[in-house]
Amino acid sequence: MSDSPQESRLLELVESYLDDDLTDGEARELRTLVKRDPVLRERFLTEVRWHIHLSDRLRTQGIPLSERVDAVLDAEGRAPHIADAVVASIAARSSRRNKISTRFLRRKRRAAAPWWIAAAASVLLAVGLLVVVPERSPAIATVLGDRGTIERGDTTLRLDERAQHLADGDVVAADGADLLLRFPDGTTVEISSGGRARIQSGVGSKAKRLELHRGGLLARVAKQKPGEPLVITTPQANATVLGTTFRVRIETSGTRLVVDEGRIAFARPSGGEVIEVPAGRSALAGIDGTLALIEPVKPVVLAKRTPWIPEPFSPTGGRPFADDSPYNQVIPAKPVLDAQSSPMVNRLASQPGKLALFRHALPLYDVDASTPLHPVTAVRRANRSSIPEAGLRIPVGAMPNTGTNRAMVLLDWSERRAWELYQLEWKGADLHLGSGAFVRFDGDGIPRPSSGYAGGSYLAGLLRVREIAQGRIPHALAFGTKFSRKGVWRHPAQQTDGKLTGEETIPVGARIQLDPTLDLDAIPGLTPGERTIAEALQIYGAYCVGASGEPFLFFCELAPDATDVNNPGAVYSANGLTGDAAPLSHIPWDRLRVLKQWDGAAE
Amino acid sequence: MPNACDEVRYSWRQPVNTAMDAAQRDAAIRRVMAGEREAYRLLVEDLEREVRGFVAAHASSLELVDEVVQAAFVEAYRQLHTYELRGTFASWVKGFARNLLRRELAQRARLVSTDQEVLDSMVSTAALDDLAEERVADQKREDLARIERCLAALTPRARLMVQRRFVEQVPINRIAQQFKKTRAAIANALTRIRAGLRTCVDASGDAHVIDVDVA
Repeated sequence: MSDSPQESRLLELVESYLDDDLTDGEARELRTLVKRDPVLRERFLTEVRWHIHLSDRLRTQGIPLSERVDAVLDAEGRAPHIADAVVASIAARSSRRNKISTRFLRRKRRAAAPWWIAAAASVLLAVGLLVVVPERSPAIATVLGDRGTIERGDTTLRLDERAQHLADGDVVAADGADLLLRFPDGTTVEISSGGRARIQSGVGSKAKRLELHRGGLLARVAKQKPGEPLVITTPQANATVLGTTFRVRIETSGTRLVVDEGRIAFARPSGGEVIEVPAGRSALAGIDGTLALIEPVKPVVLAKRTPWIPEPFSPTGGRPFADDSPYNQVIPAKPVLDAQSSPMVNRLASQPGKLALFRHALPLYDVDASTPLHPVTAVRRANRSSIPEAGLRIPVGAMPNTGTNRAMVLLDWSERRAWELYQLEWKGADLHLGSGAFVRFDGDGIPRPSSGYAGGSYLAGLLRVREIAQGRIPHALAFGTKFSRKGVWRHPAQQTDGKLTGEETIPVGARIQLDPTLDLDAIPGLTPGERTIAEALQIYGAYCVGASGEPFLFFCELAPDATDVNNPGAVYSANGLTGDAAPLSHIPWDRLRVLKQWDGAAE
Repeated sequence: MPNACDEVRYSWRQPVNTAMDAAQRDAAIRRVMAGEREAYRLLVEDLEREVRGFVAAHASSLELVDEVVQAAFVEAYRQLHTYELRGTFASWVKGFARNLLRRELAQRARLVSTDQEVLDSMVSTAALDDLAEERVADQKREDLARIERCLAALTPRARLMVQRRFVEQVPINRIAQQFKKTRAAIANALTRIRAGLRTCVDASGDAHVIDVDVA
């Protein structure tokens, strides 16, 4: 067997990976190797898998499994709380990020007796705690998530990755990520990031109650027993649920209920009128005391929104790329939708779309032949050859964004192309890059070699400050999502960037559209900025350009006058787009749809 | 070091044949339900290899195998009152293992802020996909017996390397020191050993297909 130097290096790095002994540089090297070459990636995965298999079959064990199980069950025999403590302790060890760690295993073998003692100590500690800690109420549900808190009386517990029991009166707050509540009957409720809710067992009945204080939730409710419904309450409304899927969100205008499946009885907390909201409909309990089923919006004539063909792309106006670029083509009147459009939208729109206005907003710099060339000291990725030897034209003081991608775009008007730079770092006067590539202003918007998100262009789909100022966006937008699908991509994307599987996940390159029959003028509370974006989403839609830490994040230009996450610049702020990643909460995101292909065709 | 091979007492696990049949397992469960906890210990010992084989075929790390297998047996005990005596206890326990594994893998797949985590995530995601699509079949009872036959076909030096790496979990840097080879050479040898054993096991333990020597 003769391996190439690259394969030999891979194998060496794989062994160090299995030992949990990679340096940061080696980890980066291994990551680059496996990301660049599918064959090496497959080899990496195969070696890891077979190492686990062989090691598991052959290695000597510490404490026999039957004894470990016995220990936990012993504790359970004494008191369920103690068993929970032990199981939680095991779960905590389990949930920490551990690689294929022989170091961990050796430590575990050497520390076999101490672990045993530690488990026993956990039991004793739990026994001790039972003496001094008042018995808490029985668990109503469990909560899963690693960013959030549980408020229990005067105590606030920060969630880690372990499941936690929730008792009557506990308040959960999602801080930076969704939280999942799971009830014993199989009902699940996702509290969206920023949301806060109190859980209560029903007073005088077996009903379960969830008081939503702020934010939104998505509930999938198992069929409830007669007389034991789940009741979701907000300051404006009560939703009594017998088994369905629905969303509730507290908005500035009131509480909005959207029913996906089943029927919901919707009423004000003070009683009075009850309206039944069927599947596919929504209702609003307004802050003014109104309670109304929202009528389906009548179709409007599409011709009202004739696309605006802008002037040629220049430093002062226009849009980049040719008119027939996928980013500049209007979505046809009756596009063929993806067969999984509905579950995808349910997933994607479980929270409102947000705008990347500061950390991940892209700084754009105009350059031309008069801008001095600056040499590039180092390029970490393989496409060094794509950077001119003479360097790049970079204005003095140009800085990348502060997000993890540290990106910047140079608009070179003399060459009519954009240099898209990733992982840019100034080390004194030396310029270090992760990678860089260009895309031509008059091309199709697909950089070759790839540069930005998942092989796409940073400039393509970018929301510009001047477009918000003008109130018109003459192109498709670009968004990232944490629900991107693994292993697939669609044109115009050039590669996958997904991590998840499932029909509800979003392939990179998928084009979404806001229902073009929506009458934007009839949507209450829509800010000028939201309206501009919503209109673009109706005419041009938006492309999923890659994975993001956020559920649904649109990429924008960094305003030259932006100062921090709370001050994204005067134009954005004046149009109601305030703060980095602030939600566009007035756009009816449940009216999105996903096209089968970028051009709306069937094949 | 090669001379030391003869002195090594190979200590990998040997195949054993003490399995209960489905009826015996259900009988044991009746005893557990009647309050006889010792019977559950016997069930764990009986089923460990089968459940472990299933989990190891889908897990992203050895540590995860240990934790999931243990948690699955604990959860199965807790839910024993819901088990119907139909001779399907092994599948039932594996169902708990599958759910626990899926949850853990999904959590690990989400951690991607460093290069190391990206690699871990890649392994977890691949394992998750395999689990979802059942791409890796349950490891059969005779698997260990096959491996044993294949190990016998290795040269003493390769067997010593197996002992160090897979049984004792010695890191590659120390193995390289012990064998007075470069890390790259040891990595290459281990890869060839793994590949040879895999081919041999796939060929039902036919040791003739194995062709691994370590210089």
